[in-house]
Amino acid sequence: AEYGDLNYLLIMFAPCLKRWINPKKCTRITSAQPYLQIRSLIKPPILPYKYKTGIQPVFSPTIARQHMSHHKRMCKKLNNLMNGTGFENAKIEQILYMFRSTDYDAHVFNTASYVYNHSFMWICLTPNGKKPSDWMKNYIQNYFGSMERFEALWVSACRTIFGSGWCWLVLKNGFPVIIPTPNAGNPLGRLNMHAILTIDLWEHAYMDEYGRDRDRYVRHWLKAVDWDFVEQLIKRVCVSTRVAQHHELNLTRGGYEVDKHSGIDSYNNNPFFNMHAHYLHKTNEQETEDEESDDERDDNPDQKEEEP
Amino acid sequence: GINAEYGVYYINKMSFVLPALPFEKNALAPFISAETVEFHYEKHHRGYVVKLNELAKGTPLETKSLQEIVLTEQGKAFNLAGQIWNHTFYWDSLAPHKGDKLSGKLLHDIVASFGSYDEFVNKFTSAATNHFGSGWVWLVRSADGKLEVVETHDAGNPLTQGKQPLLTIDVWEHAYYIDHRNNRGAYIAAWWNLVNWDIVEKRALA
Repeated sequence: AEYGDLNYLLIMFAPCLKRWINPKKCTRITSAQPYLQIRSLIKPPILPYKYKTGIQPVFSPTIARQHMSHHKRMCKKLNNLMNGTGFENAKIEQILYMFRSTDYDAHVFNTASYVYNHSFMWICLTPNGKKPSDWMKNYIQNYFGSMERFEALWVSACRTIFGSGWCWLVLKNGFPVIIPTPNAGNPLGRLNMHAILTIDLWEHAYMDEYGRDRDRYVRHWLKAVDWDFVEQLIKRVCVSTRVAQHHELNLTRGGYEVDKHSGIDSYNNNPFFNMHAHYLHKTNEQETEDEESDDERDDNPDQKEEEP
Repeated sequence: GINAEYGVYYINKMSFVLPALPFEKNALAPFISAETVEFHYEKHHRGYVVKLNELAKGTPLETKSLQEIVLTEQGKAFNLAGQIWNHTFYWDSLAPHKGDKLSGKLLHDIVASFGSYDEFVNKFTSAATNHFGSGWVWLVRSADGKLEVVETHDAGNPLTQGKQPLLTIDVWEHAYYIDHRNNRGAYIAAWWNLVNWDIVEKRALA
């Protein structure tokens, strides 16, 4: 198009027209879902950090760029696959949920899962990581004993995967659980499971820089985790599923080792959880009786339990 | 019948040994670069042998051959032994590019089982390209004598299905990431140039 042509005007001023045509009047995600989609096309997430300089100490700039370019290619592939089906405007989570079980759609599920899992990993990380806040440290201490123990559990869970896979930290019924999944698995679509953290254990993630040394890769990865994001996600999940933050109640009693009512017990005995309590035939007296017998047993660990 | 065992040398308590490559590391260039062969053989293949020796030390595994472990064990021992066996089979199935074509009984069997040689190539290639995740793709002779293309995950081996392997390609990412990054199709196309049909025919006649 030459200067003076109508086409030229259109080409020159098209970017201005975009704002008039775009019904949302924005190109950035504003919804609560973390950055996984812009308008109706699946794209890599808009990251709150610059990935091109690498994500220290786990991904060097070259690797980060390569990884992101593969990701963009898979996004394009997924968009092409979704063209013509009813899912052009679907969010990636919806695509994953719909295509997770049918056999002929395994290809679609694998592509979508690749995109989602990688997107999720990018937003879990940040260069040099963000230190966990006191709340986060308490949360980890409450459920895993200590940050070191959590990291050890994480590394050993990653070791269990032979070949390709991902390792996830999910909230299952409000409790954090480490779940390794093979190939393209992800916890989406399963009831009561919300992903909080993930690591890519496919060879393409660590081969260039770490060779076969996947353990070292995982340890470096742990240093790049954005714990502020994790904290926000946990709080958001707890609110959205109307799960009261029972771990905070436990914390006021003095921490991990003192609280013998942590775990599944606190689920049943916690007043915030006992919304169905009036359907149970348990009275208040019965509850205190149970607590007393627990204390007795703790005082005399050798004493045999009396059977009713 | 089942093929002879690979990579098994009986030294006292039978430690597992990394067998030598049947060619020089740069002999497969430009289809598979010397760097890939070096990395694949030295880091991965050797690494599996070292780990299996560590795992087997002082256990009944020491007295078993690789094939026995593949057929009877599960879990880590199976994975390691399977990978060693598979990689040895893989290296033996490769040879520097000669440009010779397939002929004889094997070609006859392939045409009988797949319809035509091109049909077999297409089937094998699409299986290898579309296999998701880590694994291997095999040309096998099944119990009824017909030839099949079979995919296995991670360290899987068609011996466990009672089939006789004739040819294999490694579709773990470490096999092609250095040369082709994510482009598995290019790796497979290059790999077809390196297939050692002599040895595949020998295996088919056994």
